[in-house]
Amino acid sequence: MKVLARVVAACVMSVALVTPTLAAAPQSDGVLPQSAGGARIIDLTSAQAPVTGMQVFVPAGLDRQPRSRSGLAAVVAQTLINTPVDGVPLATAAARAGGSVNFTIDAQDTHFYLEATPDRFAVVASLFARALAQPDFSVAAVRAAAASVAKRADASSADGLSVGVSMVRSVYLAKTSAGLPTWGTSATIAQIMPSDVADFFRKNYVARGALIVAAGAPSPGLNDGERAVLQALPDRDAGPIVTSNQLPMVARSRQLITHRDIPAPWVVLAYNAPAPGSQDFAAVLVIESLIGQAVGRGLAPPLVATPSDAEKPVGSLYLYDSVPSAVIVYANGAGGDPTLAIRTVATVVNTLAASPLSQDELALAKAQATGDLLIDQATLADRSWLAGNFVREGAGEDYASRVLAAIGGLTPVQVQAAVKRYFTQYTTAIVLPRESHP
Amino acid sequence: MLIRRLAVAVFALALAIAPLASDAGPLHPARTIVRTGDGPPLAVVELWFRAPSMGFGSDPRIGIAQVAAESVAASQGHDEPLAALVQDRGGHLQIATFADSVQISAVVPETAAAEVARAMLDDYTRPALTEDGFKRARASVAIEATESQVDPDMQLRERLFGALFSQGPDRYAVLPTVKQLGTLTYPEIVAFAKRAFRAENAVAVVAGVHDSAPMLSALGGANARDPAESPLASTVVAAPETVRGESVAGPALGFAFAGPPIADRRAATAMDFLSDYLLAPNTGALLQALKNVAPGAKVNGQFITLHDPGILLIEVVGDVSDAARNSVERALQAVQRPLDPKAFEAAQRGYIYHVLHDLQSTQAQADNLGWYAIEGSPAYAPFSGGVNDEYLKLARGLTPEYVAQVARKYLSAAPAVALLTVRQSTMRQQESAK
Repeated sequence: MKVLARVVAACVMSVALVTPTLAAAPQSDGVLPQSAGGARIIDLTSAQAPVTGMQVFVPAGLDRQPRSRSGLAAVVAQTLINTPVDGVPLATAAARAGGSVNFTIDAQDTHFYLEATPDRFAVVASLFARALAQPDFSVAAVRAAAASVAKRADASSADGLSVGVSMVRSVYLAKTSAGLPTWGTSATIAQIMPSDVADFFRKNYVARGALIVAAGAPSPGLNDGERAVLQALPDRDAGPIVTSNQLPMVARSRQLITHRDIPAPWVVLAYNAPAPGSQDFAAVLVIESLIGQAVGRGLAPPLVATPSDAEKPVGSLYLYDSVPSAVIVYANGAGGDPTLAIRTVATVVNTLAASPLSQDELALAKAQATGDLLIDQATLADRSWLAGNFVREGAGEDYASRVLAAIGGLTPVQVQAAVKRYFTQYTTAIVLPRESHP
Repeated sequence: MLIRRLAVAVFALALAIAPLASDAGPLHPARTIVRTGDGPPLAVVELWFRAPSMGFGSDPRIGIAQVAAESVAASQGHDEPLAALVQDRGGHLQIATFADSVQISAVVPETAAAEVARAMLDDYTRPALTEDGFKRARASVAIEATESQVDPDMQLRERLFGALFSQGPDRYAVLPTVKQLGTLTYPEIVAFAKRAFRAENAVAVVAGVHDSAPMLSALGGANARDPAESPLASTVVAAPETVRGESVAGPALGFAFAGPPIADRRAATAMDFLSDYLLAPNTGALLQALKNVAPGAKVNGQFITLHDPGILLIEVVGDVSDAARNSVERALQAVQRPLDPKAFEAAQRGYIYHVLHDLQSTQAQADNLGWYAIEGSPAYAPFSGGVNDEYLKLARGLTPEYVAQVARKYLSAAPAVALLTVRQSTMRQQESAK
């Protein structure tokens, strides 16, 4: 089919060169938490969706990697995606069956997203379960997966926003390995051996702490798929989180600087922020939205264009995929003077701290935060990730709808208090072009 | 000169004060489609107008549709500008121009959908343009036009369509160059808006709402007529020339084939299958064919279902070698023979999955419904009637022999070919940077 060769339009969402998509609110009445073995199952199916999806979280995130093996979680997941099933890699087998399988690495878990037409979902889930039961951790397989992950690490290293976010994450997530870069580095990936991969898989691909979120069209294959996946995960606890004493957690304002092969500088500010479940979460969502709108408008954006985050000259993100969480504000030097955006943020923060918003101003801010939260849940993958993320962080399966209600009930004084509590100190990451770069 | 400037100013002021549409009666789009959803409370409200991107006159005015559409969104109109209203309600407004249509799209929380629908319909079908809105729109289009200069997809399309068609709206770029933009005047934007943005020339689409009644009320009921303007066909050149050029977006290689019109639904569906088989990300046959000869190349493209004719686009970005071109041509030859039944079955499953996967967001559903309606075949929109609708029945009914027959009919004709190399000045800059 296809339909639209969009000429001007851009994708509305796409948070994510660097972080999982910040999706939003599942319908609370569709959420049916269950448990099976040590894992939890959440049902977000909706009759009118065209495809069936399933998000499988396993407690195999960045935080369980040894620091010297940064990139290991990604190599393990990639090896699984490449594992032969019926003579072809899992990803190819799923495509031929009428579906897809992919993965994302977060601070505290790895999650696989399976999707297919409803009539083919059982087949795709079964393929995934078979790979999970018998992964190929041979030398050749691990080498191929490591090469693939190293490519992504290199690409990430050449992206100013990604580098800046990694730098600030290494500060606010410094207590554990969660602050390591998602794709590792070429140097650390080169150290990864097949025994590391097998060991990480054995310890962390387990049922306790795992979570399955079913989303999209109901399918007769969903229950069978959930069962097959859970049977492939041993019922035991995951390995220990790898802690570090490298940096103190409580940040005062600090500045980190690095150089990369990029054409223009990037500046990223990070504020410690409340995680989902905190009573301040809704207020900080509103403040983040306000700051993003303010810096965007300050640099005279095009009339109606809605570029992705990586394309925006300035923007903000609420990184709540981990505990602790953070709000970041970024500015791309290619789109104008990044210090202007930073000064705008300071002005906005000072203004918000000095006096409460008027009711009209707050109403606009609430609308924007609500819209952002809803717009970020366009796909089933986004929606199932968000629900799973909130559950995993202890906020509850109906948290997304509760946050929308909490936004609606905020008062100007609550917003002002949150500004004073969270937006006084920050970490600055500056990514500069190398001197040889134009 | 001064007198003339004053006269223009007075004329503009009069236009700004008075709504353009003389009919102050109830507004009814020619067709209204409301698709309810059971997902998160996010709605998409769209208006589609059938109007050529380069205007209604014989003298093409490149970009006039985009500038006119953005001018309305930026003008004070009847209350606050639509762009501001949508943003204040927590949403995003997008405006896109295609060869023979204009799309206005707002993604908003469901609670604001009826208000935005009412304002959008009112602002567009009774446009009260202002000079200020026109100026803001011109500035915005200038940015978009500049960005398109570094977009290989846009650069290839422009050249391919220019070579494939001798006349008709598909021949022209939808965004102007900065020079062309400077020639568009406020009065002609007003005249274009007055003709293009009539209620009887509009298709309204709403998706994602849980209750259709408030939307139907906001849009004045549910008509099911065709837009007032007739769809325009484009004339294909018998033997298109290969276009060579320099661009900052290069190197890139593109092919464009004229395909079946939307009226030939079975053939159009077969072309969709072919497009997916050749071009699907990661698994497409063309990507596999290029893996060894052009490993860094990116392959892109689509079959664009249009009133008449449809267009199959194939783009290879990053490698314009003879080896890359030969691989593309061999892959296009190969699909003119029936695929092995097993391979066909797997490809068909993948194709149907990709169609449905691409329709999971509310915006994609609204886009699709609007696109097929404005191109003249609303019932043919994929998933418009669920998993057993006309499109999916046709997709499931395809056979290897029929697909090969369609490929022979449309892919054996000479395509338009465009070859972009990197602009010399860009190369020099890159060299000196090294």
